[in-house]
Amino acid sequence: MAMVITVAIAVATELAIVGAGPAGMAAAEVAAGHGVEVTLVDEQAVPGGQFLRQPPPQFGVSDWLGDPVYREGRRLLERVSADRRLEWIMRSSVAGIFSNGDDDGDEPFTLVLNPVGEGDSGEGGAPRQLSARRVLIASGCFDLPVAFPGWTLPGVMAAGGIQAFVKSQQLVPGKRFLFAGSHPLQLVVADQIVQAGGSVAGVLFAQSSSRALALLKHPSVLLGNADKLSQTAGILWRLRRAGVPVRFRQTVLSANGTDSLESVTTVPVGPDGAIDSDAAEEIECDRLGVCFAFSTSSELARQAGVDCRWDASRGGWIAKHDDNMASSVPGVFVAGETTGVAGSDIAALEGQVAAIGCAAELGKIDARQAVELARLPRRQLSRRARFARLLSELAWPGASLFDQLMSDSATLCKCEGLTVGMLRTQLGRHPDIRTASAAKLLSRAGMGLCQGRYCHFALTRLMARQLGVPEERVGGFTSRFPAKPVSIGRLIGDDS
Amino acid sequence: MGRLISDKIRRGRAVSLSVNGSTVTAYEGETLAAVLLAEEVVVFNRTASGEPRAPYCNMGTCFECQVKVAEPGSAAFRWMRACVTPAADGMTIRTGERLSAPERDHHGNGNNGGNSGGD
Amino acid sequence: MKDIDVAIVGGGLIGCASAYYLAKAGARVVLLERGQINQGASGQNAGSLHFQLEHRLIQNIEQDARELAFYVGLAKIAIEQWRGIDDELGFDTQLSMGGGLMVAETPEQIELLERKSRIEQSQGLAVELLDREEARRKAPYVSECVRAALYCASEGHCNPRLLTPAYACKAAELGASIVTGAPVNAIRRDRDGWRVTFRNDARSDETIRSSAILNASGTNAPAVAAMANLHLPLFPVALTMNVTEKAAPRVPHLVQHVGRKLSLKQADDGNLLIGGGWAAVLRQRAGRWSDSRSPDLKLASVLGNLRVAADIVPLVKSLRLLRTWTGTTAITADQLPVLGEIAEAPGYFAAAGGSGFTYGPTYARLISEQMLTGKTSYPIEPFSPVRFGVLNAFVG
Repeated sequence: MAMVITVAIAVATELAIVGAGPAGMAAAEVAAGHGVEVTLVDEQAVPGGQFLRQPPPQFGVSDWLGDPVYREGRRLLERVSADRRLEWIMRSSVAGIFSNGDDDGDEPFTLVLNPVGEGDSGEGGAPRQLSARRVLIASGCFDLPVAFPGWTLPGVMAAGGIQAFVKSQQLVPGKRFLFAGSHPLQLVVADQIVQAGGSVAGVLFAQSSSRALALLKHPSVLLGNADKLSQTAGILWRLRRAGVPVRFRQTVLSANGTDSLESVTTVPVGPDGAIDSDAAEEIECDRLGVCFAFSTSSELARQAGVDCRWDASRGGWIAKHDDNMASSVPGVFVAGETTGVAGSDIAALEGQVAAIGCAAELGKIDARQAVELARLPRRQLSRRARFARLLSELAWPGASLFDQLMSDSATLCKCEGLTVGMLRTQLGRHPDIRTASAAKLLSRAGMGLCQGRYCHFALTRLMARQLGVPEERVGGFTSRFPAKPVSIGRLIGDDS
Repeated sequence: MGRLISDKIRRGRAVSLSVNGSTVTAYEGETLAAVLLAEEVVVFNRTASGEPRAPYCNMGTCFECQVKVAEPGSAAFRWMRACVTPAADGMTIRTGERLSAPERDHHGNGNNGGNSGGD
Repeated sequence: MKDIDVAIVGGGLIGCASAYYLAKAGARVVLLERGQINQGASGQNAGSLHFQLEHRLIQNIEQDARELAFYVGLAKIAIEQWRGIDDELGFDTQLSMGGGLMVAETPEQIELLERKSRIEQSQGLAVELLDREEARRKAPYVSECVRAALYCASEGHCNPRLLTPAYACKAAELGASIVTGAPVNAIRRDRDGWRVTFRNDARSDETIRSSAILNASGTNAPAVAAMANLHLPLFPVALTMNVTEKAAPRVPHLVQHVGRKLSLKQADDGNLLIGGGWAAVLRQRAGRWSDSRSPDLKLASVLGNLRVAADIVPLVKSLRLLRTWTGTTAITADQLPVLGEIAEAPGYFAAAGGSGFTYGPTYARLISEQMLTGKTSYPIEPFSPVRFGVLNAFVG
């Protein structure tokens, strides 16, 4: 694919889009079409997001993501990549969004950019701040980290991370793979591994076959945009031909090994959802892909002050929005998985609606036009959103499964070396601690480099269960600037 | 523990970098994570208490894949996320290094709440 | 209705420490906290123990020399108290008293250090003026910009996450009743004491009778004073703090600046904490200050604070900023604390403001002495609310 990306030394723009995945790209295309000056910011070197994670520009890969499930997304990526109206700031995340005051002045927002590669000095021209009249946060999601004994052992990875090695780096990261989870993505990744010549020891679904089957009929709705019901059949057929067992009511109990993964202990999940540790089996493998669900990357939105609500099966703290995808912060829009994990086609539709909303606020189109333009994507959205929600619920294994996997020896906060047992003990000593924030201060959980992304779900579950309250009452960690750690030298413009 | 796919692939220009003292050939566009996995590196870093760590998310979020990197022509090593750092000719990489350990051990009633606050 | 000796309003450091000192002397104490223990400035500050006169206090050093001398005297007894705090509480609060440097970069700043050191030495606070070479020998991590430093061997830091809960636990052990989630909504004079009404766990109002009130509500102290029809002129100020990733131990001191806003230290866990009084923005609701959410961060404050930190301790530049946070503290117009009984309202005591972390345990001990015996082991008259007495002459 011909990629012409201009790394702009932009300092001001009308619409800043954070995240160049399906939502961000679709929004960029629509907004630019209405004459909005658009700048996209993304942490990766090339656009596409995690769904269309491209090979590096230096690679030539023929037949990249040839599956029909990616067709619509690839077309969007091709169009947007060739669109000369768009400005790009790649290899940079956004550390924070600051409001410059209440007035609707020229550039009400300042985005503090965070170039990737903390010590990397090869990007002298990269801008450090971007001012914008409107901001669209389309920052996607990441694989939900699940705490079980051994989950931090080298060899255990998020299934999405394994897939990114295959899709983008063209690397099969292991010799013998096992997948465990409840989300249909693990079938897709297992299939991609097999097609690339890798060996897969099995794919374990925690659900019953009937529940999983209902889900497997429509994985495209969760994963991508093509309504190709034949997709799963093809995947299942290829896996069977390769001798890969797909098992139901089975899950991971622990990952075992000294310095790296040697085997995985698996257990049956009973009809009541209870795991049966007495019937444990051991499967040898050097790579475990964990694939239960996804966690929304709403940290930046929350840092910017956007109101969120809790929805466990759709990604945790998801951004609230109105019909135009406008958030609770005037001038800040949200789209895609930031608003609840629902797959790339819904993300793209939300991006389109948000772009129309922005174009209207920026005076590029009038209110009547905006309503007219948004009618079709809104109709498609409402039709698919209901279905996607149903499927998310089918893919969700239920919080009680996570509660059972989270035994005392499991690492809870990997950055601070805190186990589930240590946190339980500390909370037991301080019954007055009732919020995630207070527990963070007590235990240091969430104070490391990942800023709590990899422990907040487990901590929230543990507290909700212990206190007998819904997760929403436990609350999230407060999201602060910077949304990801940022080099201080870079931030103050003094790298010497 | 990793194998490069070679079918229908053309990689970038070959570059040379140093991994734990050995010279390694990589290709432009590869991330350090891919280079190290292809080189059978298992432990990317160790926590303050010595636990082994390696890539988990492969998308710049988890910080598990950090390695010590010195830029070409520099002797200053910094922690960098291997999964978002492209291989560059002349880079020096050290793996399995320990993340900063705290100054002293705390035995204060088992409570290790940190003085690095914020809510 | 219960009869007690002291009702403490506020579960911060001063409130919890006072509960401990009062309970230890045998008083019947109830502490009422509207939210959680330690959730205000006591837990949000960066934990500096700064016994030298701070940057903010010495802006009018000649004019304020007398008050400042008095304040330095307090430092001496605070130092003694801190040295024994872990033993007293039977708890490791991560106290570190490895010394502190206040640095200067210009001849004017060096001159200010000298004047300041004269006040401090006159009160018997051990400080030592270091020239450039001596400063760099003691603190090799400081930059070439540092031309002199005033060194105080007793300075350091303590973990604000641990100290207040430790006091609260100890107070409870001694019989004090610590009630959280209990906002006070009325304080009325009784025949020979006070009636305090608060919202209890069951969400109904409960009233207790106490001989004395201690208002230790920090930023909320004026509102708690108003419940008794009193004025307490404290004002909320919003501040910014920054914390870096963990680093190998390099900075064993508290580092401050005599002419720029900086406090920097390395916590036991390896993180560097950087602050120094940089402003944040208090939130507003319906045209008034609102403390329902933490103040808004100002980008200029973060950048400015980190710039000073990098100028003085260059290794900061090689670290990643992990998190920033904002908090609210309360100050008076003269920047001194409010400590004592309100003359117009016998039995109503207040303790708030004025470097409340460094001096919190000392304020608590002194106000407890005054409440128990009417006397204090160090004179606190200059801090008394009597200096604002005119405000309360027309109410009550």
